[in-house]
Amino acid sequence: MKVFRLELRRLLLCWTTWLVIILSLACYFAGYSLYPMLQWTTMAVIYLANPISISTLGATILFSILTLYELNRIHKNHMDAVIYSILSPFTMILVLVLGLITCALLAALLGFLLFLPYTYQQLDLVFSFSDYFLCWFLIFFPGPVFGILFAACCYFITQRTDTSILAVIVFLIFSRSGVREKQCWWQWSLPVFSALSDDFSNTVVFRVAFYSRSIWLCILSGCFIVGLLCVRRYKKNILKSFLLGLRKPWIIMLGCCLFFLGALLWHYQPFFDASPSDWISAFAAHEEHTPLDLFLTGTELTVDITETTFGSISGKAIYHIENNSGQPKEMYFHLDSGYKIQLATINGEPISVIEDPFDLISMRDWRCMLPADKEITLEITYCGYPKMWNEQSSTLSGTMITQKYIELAGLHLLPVPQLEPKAPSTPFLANITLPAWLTPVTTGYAVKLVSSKNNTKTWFVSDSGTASMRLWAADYVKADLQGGGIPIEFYYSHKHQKQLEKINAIPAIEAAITYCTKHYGPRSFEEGKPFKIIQGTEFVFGGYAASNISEILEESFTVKNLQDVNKGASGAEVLAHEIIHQWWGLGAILEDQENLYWTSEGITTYSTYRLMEELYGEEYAKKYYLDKWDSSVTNMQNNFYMRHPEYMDRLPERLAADIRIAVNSIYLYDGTAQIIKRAEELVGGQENMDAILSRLYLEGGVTPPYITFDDFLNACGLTREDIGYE
Amino acid sequence: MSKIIIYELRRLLWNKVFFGILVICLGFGFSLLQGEIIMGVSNTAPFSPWSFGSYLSQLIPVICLGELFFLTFFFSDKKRKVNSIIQTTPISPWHYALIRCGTVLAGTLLLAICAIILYLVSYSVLFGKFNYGALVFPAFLALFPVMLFCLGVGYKLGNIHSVFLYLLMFVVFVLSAMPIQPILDFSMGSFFKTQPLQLGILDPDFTVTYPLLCGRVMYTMVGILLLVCGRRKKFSNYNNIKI
Repeated sequence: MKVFRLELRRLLLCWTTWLVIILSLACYFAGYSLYPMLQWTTMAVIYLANPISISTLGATILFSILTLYELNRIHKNHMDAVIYSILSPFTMILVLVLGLITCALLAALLGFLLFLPYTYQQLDLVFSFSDYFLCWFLIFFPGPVFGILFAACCYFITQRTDTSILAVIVFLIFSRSGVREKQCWWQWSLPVFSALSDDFSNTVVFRVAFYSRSIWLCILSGCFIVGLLCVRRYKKNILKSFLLGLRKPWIIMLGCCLFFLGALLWHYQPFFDASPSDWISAFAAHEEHTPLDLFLTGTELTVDITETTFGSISGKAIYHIENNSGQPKEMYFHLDSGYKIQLATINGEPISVIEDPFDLISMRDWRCMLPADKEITLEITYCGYPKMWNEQSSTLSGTMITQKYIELAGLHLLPVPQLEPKAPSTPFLANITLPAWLTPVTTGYAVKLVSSKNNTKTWFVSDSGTASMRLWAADYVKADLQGGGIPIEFYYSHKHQKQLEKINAIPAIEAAITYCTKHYGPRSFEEGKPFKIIQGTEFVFGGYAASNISEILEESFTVKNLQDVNKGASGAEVLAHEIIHQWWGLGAILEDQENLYWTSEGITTYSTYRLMEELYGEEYAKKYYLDKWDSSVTNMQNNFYMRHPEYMDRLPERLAADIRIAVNSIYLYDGTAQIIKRAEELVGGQENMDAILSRLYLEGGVTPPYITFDDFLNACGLTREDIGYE
Repeated sequence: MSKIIIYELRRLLWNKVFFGILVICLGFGFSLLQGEIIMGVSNTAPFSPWSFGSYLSQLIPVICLGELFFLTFFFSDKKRKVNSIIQTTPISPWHYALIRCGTVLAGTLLLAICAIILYLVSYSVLFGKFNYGALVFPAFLALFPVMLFCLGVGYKLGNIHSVFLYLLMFVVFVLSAMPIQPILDFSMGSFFKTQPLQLGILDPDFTVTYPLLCGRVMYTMVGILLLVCGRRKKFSNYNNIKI
């Protein structure tokens, strides 16, 4: 202890230590504007996530350099013999490394205190002390610690400062480049930090960061301890020094144990599923098993989502099934990859359920055998931790259960049976127990409070003609809006209650609804199911629309966004896009088996363009929509593999899948929107196109509510050749 | 003379640092070939001169870093201490400096050649034979000026203090990463990515712009001038020779 105090005192009296601390904290400023790492623009991203990311990376490198400088100091000044005659090299190194780690802690503490007032002032209403604390001590602090451990390990092996610093930089670049850039667990210096939410929970980011930090702490500590054996002793070379070190076998055992513990944590991580990289092909090949003679006649769900520390769920679902086949039948469920079925009974008798071991987009198939009885009651008790799709491991986007925010859709809420509901009135009844401070919003009818006890509340919600439900829960405030004569419920975070009048989002919502009602026709919602607009978390990345719900990103509500009146196609326009989906996608469905790019996305993109043209003028719409469509479609058509598909077959499957996904995305949105725009010019302008779209919306295609590409062409009186469709 | 050349080459190339940098260079190169380059740069084929140039431009910081590391061999404190012994040998400092520069250039060229071979082998296996001759000019244009520039500047700065070599490594990384005017484009990264699109035709032949060519000549001339000036100065102050 005395040696440690002496060493720490020496380090703190050394100007190089303070230079490194100051430079590490100076990197924080770069993150404000010089080199922002994250593109998502909540206030917390701008004033906390970006600066902390840059300073973490900077501190990792700077503390590595300081470590190497300090380790080399004794050797460089030829003091090894003197010092090592007093203290063993192991003790000396451990004391030095502990001293450096304490200096890194000091840097974190100083940064925490220094930037607190400014961050608090900038974030104002959306400031979260716990998030700020975790950013400094869970994201920042381990960065330099890992840099110290890794640099020391390299130095023990090479005994060269230049090679060691090169190794640190190369390992840092390696972990953040190529395919590893999108692989969560490779990020040893700065864990995946896709965004920070202003209004809702960042628990998932910090959970993943904590796990990632644990993995790398084990791995790098293991490497450091094993590396200690390579420290040169008695002027011997690396091999002989290593053999000498083996006389203390507990060192190598401890090092190996830590290393393998890290590897085990990596391999058995609980956050992401194991979907195949070519998920498009896997999805296309995935069979749906919906028997024609089995029907769902009712669902009763009891679910408890009060365990928010780790974010787990437990529940019981009771399905009433009608078997018209007169024979035993196999039935399939979709369920979240992270859930397990604990017990399944049919008419009170336990049965066995079989789990398909393959994941697909955070989903697994389960199956069971139903008896030949006409009326069947199937009870399933399940529990688990919702997993995210591994493709989204770099964005941490997906369902979540946290203290401040819950979002669970369909198979993440309950096992979803692959059965058709018997009738549109088939009941879906749910009792959902949540922490008392959360307000639920669902795709069903209005929620009712059933009971309240011990900081939890149980809510009842019902729906009809469905086998699942989507649930959001947060500290929402509800506002009633008007637009196009439709009742609208707008749910937003209570943090924005005072700012509501200043938010541009509300006019954008009302404008989108008025535009669609005026141009295409009114959108009718079931009685008791008003149109709900929900402020979703930043981690949704793009918005969502289904049933009577439109979800919008919280970045549309940031002060920064409101001030940026010239901002291009994003933010409030994404919100408008999701609102328009209520007409195209939910009101009328665009689908064509022969043209997979003909979906609601294209026409919704086109309608968003028209709305923006009406609101901001032709020049704006041309710049952010028409020119962008042209550019992305031309770029895709010019792509080498599009022009020479024979070379695509020679590519590794992963890369070929990446290209296919990019092509799909462009043709679904921009490509189809461009075709509709071309058709608009051929039919004589916007008014004529509006009349055509309105007729299609109200009357549907040949087989309503579906509108195929041919339906659209026939309505326009055009052929594929006329619009240059290939 | 040949003995000294062979000795210096062996000292530089039969060395764990050289192999370390080679492994890093090839590892990074492989990662590029499996990622961005295989998708084809600016809608050209992955085996086009543009994609090849883009591959080299991203490797340039690593190759230059290797070159500067090789220079540190000659300017470390240990090496300075033996200079007084070397000066007593009959070889002229001119020739000795020339040999050292030559070996550094040879080592750097070897790194670049290994990276080029990796590209040629990987894509020949994957895509079959392609026009190898078209790759010579972009390789020469991308690599040769910056190699000479780093050698000249590094040699000059190393003579002042070896710490400047490490600073130069940092500058090389910054120069390669920064969006910069064509005349100063160090790694030619933005040129290889934007020029095929600016030409406005699909699969264009490899052509260079006048400002870029001036920039490459400038980098080459700066490198050569610094090498020549450094030696003249030392020759005139023979008693103060540092190397």
